[in-house]
Amino acid sequence: MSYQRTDNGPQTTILLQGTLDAKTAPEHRPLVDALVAEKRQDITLDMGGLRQLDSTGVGVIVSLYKRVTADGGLVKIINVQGQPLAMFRLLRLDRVFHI
Amino acid sequence: MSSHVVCLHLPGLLIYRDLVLAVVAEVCGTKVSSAGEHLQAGRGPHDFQFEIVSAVSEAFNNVALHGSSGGVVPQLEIELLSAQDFIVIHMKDTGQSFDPMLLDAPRLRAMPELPESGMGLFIITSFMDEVEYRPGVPNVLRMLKRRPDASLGSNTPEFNERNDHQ
Repeated sequence: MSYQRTDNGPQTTILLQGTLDAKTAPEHRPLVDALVAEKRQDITLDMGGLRQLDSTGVGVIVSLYKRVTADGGLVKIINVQGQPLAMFRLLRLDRVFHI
Repeated sequence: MSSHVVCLHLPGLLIYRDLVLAVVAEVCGTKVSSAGEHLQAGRGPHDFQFEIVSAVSEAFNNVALHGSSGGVVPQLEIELLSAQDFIVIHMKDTGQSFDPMLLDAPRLRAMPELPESGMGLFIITSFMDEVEYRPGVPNVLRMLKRRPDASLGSNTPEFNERNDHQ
C-alpha cells in the first residue's frame, strides 16, 4: 500500500509514499470514499514521501478536496516537493492548498 | 556534450510505466547534474527533468489507458534524443488515435479550476516547448523541450520523414 493513515481524534493524516498515478490510483480511491463516509473533517495529506504524481493522481486529490470541503471539512497538503510540486504549480493547486 | 539516443520498445501497459519514467528521468537528468544549477525565478535545477517526466507520463497514460482497441494491447516505441540544447522525444504507438485538434491551445487554456480529469494534453503542451501529433499506423507524438541554458536560435530537429510512419 502506498499510503499510511493515522487518526488522532478529529484529525486524520495520510502519509503518501512512492507514486500516485494511473497505476496506483485504484488503491487510493477506496481511501477517499472511506474518509468521506466517515465524515472526517480535518485531513492532512503529507506528500513528503511522494515522488511521482500524474493527472490521475491529481484527480484523486481534487476529488477528496471537493467532497470533504463540500461537507464543511478541511483538507491540507504539506511537504509537496519535486515532480509533484511542478504539477501542483502548473495546475495552480499550490494556490488552492496555500503551498 | 555529444547527443545520444535511447530507445525503448514495449507494450503500452501500465506495468511498464515506472520503467519508462525512470529511463526518461535518467536521460533528462544527466546534463542537469553535470552542468550545475540553472536557477530561474521560482524554479529549481530539476524542473526541466520534472516537466519532461510529467509530459511523458501523460503521453504514456494516453496509450495505456485509451489506446487499446478490441482487447489488443498497443505496442509503443519511445525514442529519446538528448542533445546539448534540447531533448526531443518521439512516441510511436499502434493504438487508437486521438484527434490532433485536441491539442488546440485555446481549448486547453480553458482548463477549469480544480479539474478531476482531462488534464493530460494540457500538461503535455504546457511543459514541452513543441508538441506535434500525427495519427496513423503508428501514431507519432513528437515532444521537444529546450534546456534552460540552451542558446537562442539553436537548431532543433523537425518532425521529418525519419520519424514518420514506418
